[in-house]
Amino acid sequence: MKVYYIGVFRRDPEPTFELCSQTDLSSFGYFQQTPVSEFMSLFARAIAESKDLTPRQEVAEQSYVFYVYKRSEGIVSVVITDQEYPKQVAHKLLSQVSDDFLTTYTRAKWSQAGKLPLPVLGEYIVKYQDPKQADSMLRIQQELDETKIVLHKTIESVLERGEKIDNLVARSEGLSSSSKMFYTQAKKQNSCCVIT
Amino acid sequence: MASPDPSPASELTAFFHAHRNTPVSIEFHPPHTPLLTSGPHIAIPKTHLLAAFPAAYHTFSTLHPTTTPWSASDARALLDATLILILVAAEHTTAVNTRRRILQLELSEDVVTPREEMALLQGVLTSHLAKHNKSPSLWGYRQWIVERCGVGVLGDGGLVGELEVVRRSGEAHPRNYYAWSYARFIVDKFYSCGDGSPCPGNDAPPPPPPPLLRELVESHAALCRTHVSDTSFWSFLLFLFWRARESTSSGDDCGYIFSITKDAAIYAHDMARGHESVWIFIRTVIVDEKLQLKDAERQELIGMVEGWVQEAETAGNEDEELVIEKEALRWISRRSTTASETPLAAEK
Repeated sequence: MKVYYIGVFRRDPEPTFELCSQTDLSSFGYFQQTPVSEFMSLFARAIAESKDLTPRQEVAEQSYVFYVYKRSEGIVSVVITDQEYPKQVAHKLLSQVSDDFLTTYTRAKWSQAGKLPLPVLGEYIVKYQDPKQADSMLRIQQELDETKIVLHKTIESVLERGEKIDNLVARSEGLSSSSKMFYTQAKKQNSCCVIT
Repeated sequence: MASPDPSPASELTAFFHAHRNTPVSIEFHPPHTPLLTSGPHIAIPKTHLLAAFPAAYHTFSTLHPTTTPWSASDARALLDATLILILVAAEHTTAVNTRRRILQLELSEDVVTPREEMALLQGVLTSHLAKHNKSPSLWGYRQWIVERCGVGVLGDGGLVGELEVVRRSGEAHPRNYYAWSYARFIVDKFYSCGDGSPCPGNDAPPPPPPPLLRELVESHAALCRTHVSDTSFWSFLLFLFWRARESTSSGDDCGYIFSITKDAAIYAHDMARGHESVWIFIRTVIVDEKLQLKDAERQELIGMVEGWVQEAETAGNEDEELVIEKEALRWISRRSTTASETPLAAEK
């Protein structure tokens, strides 16, 4: 089970902006790590800025799950894991990250700023790889009402006005040209015979 | 006059030559993307690999059929060619066997050494390649080298290093039967007789002694927690339990078998719910007489699960975890009933 990404976004005021993030992409190939990191930020941002975002949300996409927590203060925390990762631990991590960020920075600071470091994310991305160890770190939190968590089966289902991922990728300024090319070629490859 | 562009095959060969004795990481990238290298990392576009194949196959088919032993230069050319063949087709048995035959010639270190082959195999088996991580040919070749050369070929990594190779391969390709079969082989190599004989042409000292079985069990149990849906991780833990029971270590009552199993059940119930792999492990431990759980331990485990099932049914909670726990209890009950009906049990 893996935690790949932890991030905090500013949603209000607009535009949605990734304030801080931390990744563990060691399970990907060396050259894949940069494009994967860019894509994770892209999709996390797309979900964080979606119009109908509910306070707690889970978005499944292939073998990944995006856990999302929108705070009334105007920030959104996102955690990306594989499908094996226990959901209740992911939601607890979201609460923890949000609390840590809002304790560290005032609204006056994050509402106008660019990137804001949150060093504890580096600690969390390591410790939460083992949910049993990490659970002891969690402060006592209110039990999560799972009926209030909205589930989505794909990222496209949360995008605005029926937008497709291909369009999102093409118009993204956060993706390097090599990552876009990699995405395009990889999609073509899926329709061809696989040699190896 | 500008020198001609290197051929696709020679570009690949140059990279692997530059990193002999170093485990490299290999990726296959989509067609029409560039060949990328950075230190011991290489990303090979599939079009590049296909373009390298004809030259490699020509070399292989020219040099391979022979009744006389290969010269050093022919052997080196064959190693370069067969590597490309294996990258194209992980189960190219003839290519793998050619490399075996070259090793058996015991040529100079300039050509190849067993440790160099182990490093190359480590790179291929732990890279994110869909077919190579789980290749019976490649894992079988690795095992053959260890059987032929002894555990001295493992170098400073020893048993722990080998299990790390298996873990990485198992993570790159879950439910990796061949990787974990190799793990069983290598554990038995160290804990059965472990010859430590020196590798041909290698004066390095034997590998470090293996950790205590108990330490191995506990560290692997921690790994299993983070691989709850991978039955291969849990099956290997069961294998280690058996080895621990068979071990002649004095003063070790293997009480940790019960505590680890109980922790696994609690972990599966409280946190990592809905994974059958964990419960297959737990139910097997409960009924397996070789593991010599005390009756009280067995009853405690069963009672704990029965309590959870009852609690969930009373609350009307019909999730997947409940279904799996109920099935585990039914399985245990069936196995227990069958055991009590055997003639041997009847005599008691």
